[in-house]
Amino acid sequence: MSAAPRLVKRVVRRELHSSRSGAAVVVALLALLATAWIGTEAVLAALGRPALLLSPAAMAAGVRALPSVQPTPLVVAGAVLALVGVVLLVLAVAPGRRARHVVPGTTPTVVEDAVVASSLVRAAADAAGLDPDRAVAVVGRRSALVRVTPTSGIAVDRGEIEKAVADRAASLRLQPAIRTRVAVDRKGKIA
Amino acid sequence: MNATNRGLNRLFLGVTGLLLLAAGAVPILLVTLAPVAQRWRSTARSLSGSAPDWVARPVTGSASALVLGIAAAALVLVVLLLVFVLRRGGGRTGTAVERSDEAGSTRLDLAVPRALLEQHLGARDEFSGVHVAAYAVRGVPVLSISARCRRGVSPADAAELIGRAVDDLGRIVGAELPALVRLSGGFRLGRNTARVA
Repeated sequence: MSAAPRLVKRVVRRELHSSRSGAAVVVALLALLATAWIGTEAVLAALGRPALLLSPAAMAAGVRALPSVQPTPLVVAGAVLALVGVVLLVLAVAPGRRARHVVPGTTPTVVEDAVVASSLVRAAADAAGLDPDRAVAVVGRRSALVRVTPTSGIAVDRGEIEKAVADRAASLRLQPAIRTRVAVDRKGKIA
Repeated sequence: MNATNRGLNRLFLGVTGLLLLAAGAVPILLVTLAPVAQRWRSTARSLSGSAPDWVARPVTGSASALVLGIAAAALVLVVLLLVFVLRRGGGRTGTAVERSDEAGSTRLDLAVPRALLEQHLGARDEFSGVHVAAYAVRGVPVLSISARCRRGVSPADAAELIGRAVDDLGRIVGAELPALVRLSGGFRLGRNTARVA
């Protein structure tokens, strides 16, 4: 047995989660700017040149005088820093699932939820005898909601649409499987 | 499917988050806890009163040894951050199959499966675009087949269609082709939920 299935499994797992590259790059660039500024001030001080914004001595004095700063701006600044810190911690720990499902098989397939939604819409529209533009699907991780807007004066069979959508969802063999619900708008539209 | 080190991304975000959290806690504690502010003031006074030479005495210009050290540390950190930012992606390879055993070695260029799959699948009504690439995953090439589905296409049917094409191709070239299929909509996309009119 080759190592291929294990490799592909790894690739699938990576496809289902965010790489966090975007957030990491933004944070790294901001950290880079801050570090470069501090380094520049240090070098300017070493050369005996005037500081850009704050000399290292002024920075140190500022830190020493921190308790004398007005309490309100101090708390606000601290709260903002702490909040950004919490957001970054959440980004680091949260799974970061993407809106995708897997169709398992020898060649596994990763499907964007938009494709699943489009397929469910088609099933609902066909069952109701409506144009696909008259149905909307919202697909989550384990459930999907299809909303159908009937044509005014023409009743649609909700049970039939429900069955068609559920059958289509089951035929997709998605992992994780999705439960479907159908909502028929009370008010129809004129075709 | 690229080779970005995701663990490193998360580690970096986590460490930065902890540092910011700690930095944010300091001013809040200074305001809310009087003893902390007291302690901060007295420590600051004693530090500025009797600072050691390497902190207080300028070596060049107005910079002490500490400031020079900070400059050096900042330079190192800037280089590390630059490397971190620039080392994104990668892992693409031009080889679809690479194998060697006692009988010899086999190497199949990506151009072969790419041409065959893109031509075969691109002609199907189900897809509005097919793109084939290969990535080295732990050193082993894995095909990445991205297909943009037209509206209403069943992803299970599309998956089966592409899976069969990959199997056929594997039989033609006489090698197992590890592959991943990615089906995208190419239509409007939400962030966590997909809405399609």
